[in-house]
Amino acid sequence: MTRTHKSSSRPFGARAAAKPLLYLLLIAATAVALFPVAYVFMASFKTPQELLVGGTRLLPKKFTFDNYVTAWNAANFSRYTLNSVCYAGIVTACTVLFSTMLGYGFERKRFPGRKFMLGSFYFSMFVAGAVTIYPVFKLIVGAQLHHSLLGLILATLGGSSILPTLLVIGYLKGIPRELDESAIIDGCGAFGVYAKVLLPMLTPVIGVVTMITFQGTWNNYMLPLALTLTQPDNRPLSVGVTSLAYVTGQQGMAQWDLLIAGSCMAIVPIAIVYLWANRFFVGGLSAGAIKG
Amino acid sequence: MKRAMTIRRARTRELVSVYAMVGIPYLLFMTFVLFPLLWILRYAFYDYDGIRSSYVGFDNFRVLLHDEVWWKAVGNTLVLTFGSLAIGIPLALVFAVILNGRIKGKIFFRSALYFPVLISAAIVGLIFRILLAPDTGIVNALLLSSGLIEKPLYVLASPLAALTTLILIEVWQGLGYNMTLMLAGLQRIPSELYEAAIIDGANERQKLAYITIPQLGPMLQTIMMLSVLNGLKIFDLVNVLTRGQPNHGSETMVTYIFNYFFEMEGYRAQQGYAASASVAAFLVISLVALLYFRLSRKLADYD
Repeated sequence: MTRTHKSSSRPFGARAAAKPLLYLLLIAATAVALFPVAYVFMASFKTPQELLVGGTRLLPKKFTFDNYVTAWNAANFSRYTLNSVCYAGIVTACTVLFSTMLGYGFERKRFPGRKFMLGSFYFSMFVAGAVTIYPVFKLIVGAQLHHSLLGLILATLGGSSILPTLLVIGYLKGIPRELDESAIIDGCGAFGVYAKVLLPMLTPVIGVVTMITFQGTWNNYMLPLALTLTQPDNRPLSVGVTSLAYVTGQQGMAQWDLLIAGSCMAIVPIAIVYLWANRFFVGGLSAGAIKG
Repeated sequence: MKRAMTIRRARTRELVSVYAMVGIPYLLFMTFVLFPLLWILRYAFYDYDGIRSSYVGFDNFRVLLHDEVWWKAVGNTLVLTFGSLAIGIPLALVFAVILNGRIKGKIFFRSALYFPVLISAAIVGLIFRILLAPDTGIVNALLLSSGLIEKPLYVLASPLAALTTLILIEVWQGLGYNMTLMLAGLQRIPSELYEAAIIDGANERQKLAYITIPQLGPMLQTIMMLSVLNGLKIFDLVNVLTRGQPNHGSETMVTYIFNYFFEMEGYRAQQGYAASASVAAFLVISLVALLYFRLSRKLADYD
């Protein structure tokens, strides 16, 4: 009786006969989910010759790091990696700063223009990005900022704080205002309350914002593609690697060695970050869906 | 009197520091999000090729109305969006319900199914180019060696196969995301409901149909709207995997607009025309957004 009762809140839980089938289904799904990346990861250690032959082997015949060495030295991937690290790092740091300041201003203070600003944030969630890419490109080129990463970083920062700000607002609603007020009585200004009282309490939501922003920026493709069309040296990995997909190598063959090594270089850092802090990913995404 | 002055001065000082904190980020937002929207709205009514511009009224929209490739792109976008929704949502629900039960290795399965979500959609496109390559790809190699096919398949050579492939990849990448959201929704369902159902003698299937799915309703609607809104903007995966080919068979709204803006793929740059297509795409997206707000108002008591 107790057993039935315990499993009662969990559909499928009580039917012992169905269990092996469920595990089979889960294992199959896991295999499908992981196979493409696992295959590409193993293939990255194959020799270029073996890659050109193809075949059904998963593990390399001869294990080699040559593809990574070629990609790193000959194909400019060292530059792309550096760009990706700077781009994602700087955007993430600024977004954390901006979204906490915006969230604090919108949630705790009343000032002329607040309603308009907040409204425009909600509105832009639906449209931003995809269709406005050309005017953004014009602005950056017009200001001569496309020669360095700065233009790309500024353009990305324009939209990167929107969802994080809404997350911070949601979180601040749960922190009592009495805390701010007692700090004000103690002589804190608006900035003092933000920096000394609220920022330390926002740590959990800052974790979420850091993770979703870093992932989003590291994986960003369209904006960096458009802004680096004439500046291949400024490309982050996602753009640099994929731009080789339609370029053939010396013998008129696709450069599978570079494409495969490059894909892995784009995936591995984000996978490591995920393993290290996956609770933030999951927390961030459900918070985004519920509050946003 | 003196006190009023002090209060006013304190208020001014507060406003100055608030604007100092909000100002810079909001200025960036205005420059790179709001201003571009207005720019698009203006140049939709201009004949503009990046250098010369002249006002042409609604001409761009008239041409767009009869532009077969544009309508093909709109159709493809809708097929991709709702195709991946139709397959992806039920699948995610199945796995969410299973993983909400008593399963050993729950955390492992959840994390594994979530893994594809982490990867850039552009890199996903590249990975599947590698896997599906006719001559060197492992998918063809496996099919050939198992005797299921005799000649390598060029999956991206026909529009129907290209679209199907794109839908399946979207399902593959989106499953973990949707499933994780649904799990969050499932965990909010009060267990008293199931206990009451047990007392009333309900079986597992009845619990699923009469408690789980209705209780999950609001979350399901949120998930669907998120997938639709993101789906309508699809670009990265398509641009890397198929480039809208063959013969615009997998062209989407955004790839089409992008090509006209940036002179890609043999398109002649026509920014005015692309701007009008952007406005049209914006209308399609807002229509869906409007629908979303209608729905979500009904769900105001949720959360």
